Amino acid sequence: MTGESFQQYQSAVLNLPKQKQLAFCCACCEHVLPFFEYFRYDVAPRELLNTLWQAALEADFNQPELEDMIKRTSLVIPNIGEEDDMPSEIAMRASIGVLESVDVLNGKSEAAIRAASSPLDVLQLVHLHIGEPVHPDFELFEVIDNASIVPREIGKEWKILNELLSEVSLKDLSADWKLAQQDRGNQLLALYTPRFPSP
Amino acid sequence: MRADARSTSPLRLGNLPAAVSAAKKIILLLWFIVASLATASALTPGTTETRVGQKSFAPLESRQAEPLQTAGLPQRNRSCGYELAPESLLAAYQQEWARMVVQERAAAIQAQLGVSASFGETYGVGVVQNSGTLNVIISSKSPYGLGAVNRSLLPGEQYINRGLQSKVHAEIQINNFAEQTAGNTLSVGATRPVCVGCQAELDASGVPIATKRK
Repeated sequence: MTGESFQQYQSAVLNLPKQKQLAFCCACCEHVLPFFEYFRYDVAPRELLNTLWQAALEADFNQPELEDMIKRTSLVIPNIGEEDDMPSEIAMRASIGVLESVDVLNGKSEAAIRAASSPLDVLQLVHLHIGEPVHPDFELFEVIDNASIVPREIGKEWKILNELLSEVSLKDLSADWKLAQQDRGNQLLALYTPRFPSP
Repeated sequence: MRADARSTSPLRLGNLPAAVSAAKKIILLLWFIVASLATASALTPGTTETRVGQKSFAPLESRQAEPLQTAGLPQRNRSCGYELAPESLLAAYQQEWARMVVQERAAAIQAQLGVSASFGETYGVGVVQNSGTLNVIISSKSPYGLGAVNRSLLPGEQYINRGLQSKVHAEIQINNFAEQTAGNTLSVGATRPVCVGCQAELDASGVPIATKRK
């Protein structure tokens, strides 16, 4: 992981076959969606993400249902132009990747880069929220031998990416693999919530 | 019959000396016709160009120098119809350049924002002049903006206020940065229409807004 640049990460994401690209985006969303759920208590993005998982792993989804979920999700994601408090900023960043993943499903591969970057965007905000901002000169994709959770998350994402870049089929990964991504999200939330400032 | 015709032709490949001789005769004949006419034609180099463009084929050193516009004196830009001193002309050029940069970069970043643009994420773009240098300054509404955008900034572009929980809109952050660094904001814009409050503040400071207004 040391020395891996964002450009390498970006091209690796773009080089994934479409289904695997979507699966990778879903995995990234799982890592941070619990932060949205912590601040907003709404199930719409979770339901949409589950549908996207189904589309990625089983290539099966219901288009009208999907469109309904997109509408419901869009209604609950905070608009930071109107709500600029830190919990709203975190909730927005933590859920926006789900809508970016919808764009990936619709063939917009550049949306995969934004969805894949969302965990890092969220963790930076979370660090700011707990009063331990990531150093301004910290190059996320250059430094890895650091105790911070942020580079460890990058390492985690690279591991997933490499798994998907290999010959392994999505059917072989599916159930346990999806659960592992959900666990990762819950672990991250559990790690930070005790340090969140009281509202 | 056909075989005989080929063998008697002077232009046949196998009979090269005869072909060369025939070509020479044709060239001499053409030269004679042209010389006897003694008028300009496409075959007499220079004459046509001289007649049409009034250009000289004399060596460069012997030509009369063309009148140059004297530096320091007002110049007229005929196509634009304004009269400016060179310093003002440079300033006007810089101003125009700044306006174009702001518009182009704001549009490019807007496309990179993806879905976030619909949920309040806004980037500001500005050109700030600091002691003769023009700097392209980028800012975002949220403390870190979008990683995917920040890592795609062009070389030399400066992203300001990283990690700052600013309540100030992105375009105002740029103007504040210019004031703090004793710079001059030549142009500013944003990835969404500039709100009425920001318009009032920028207009009062005399900062041109290069992108859409609300």
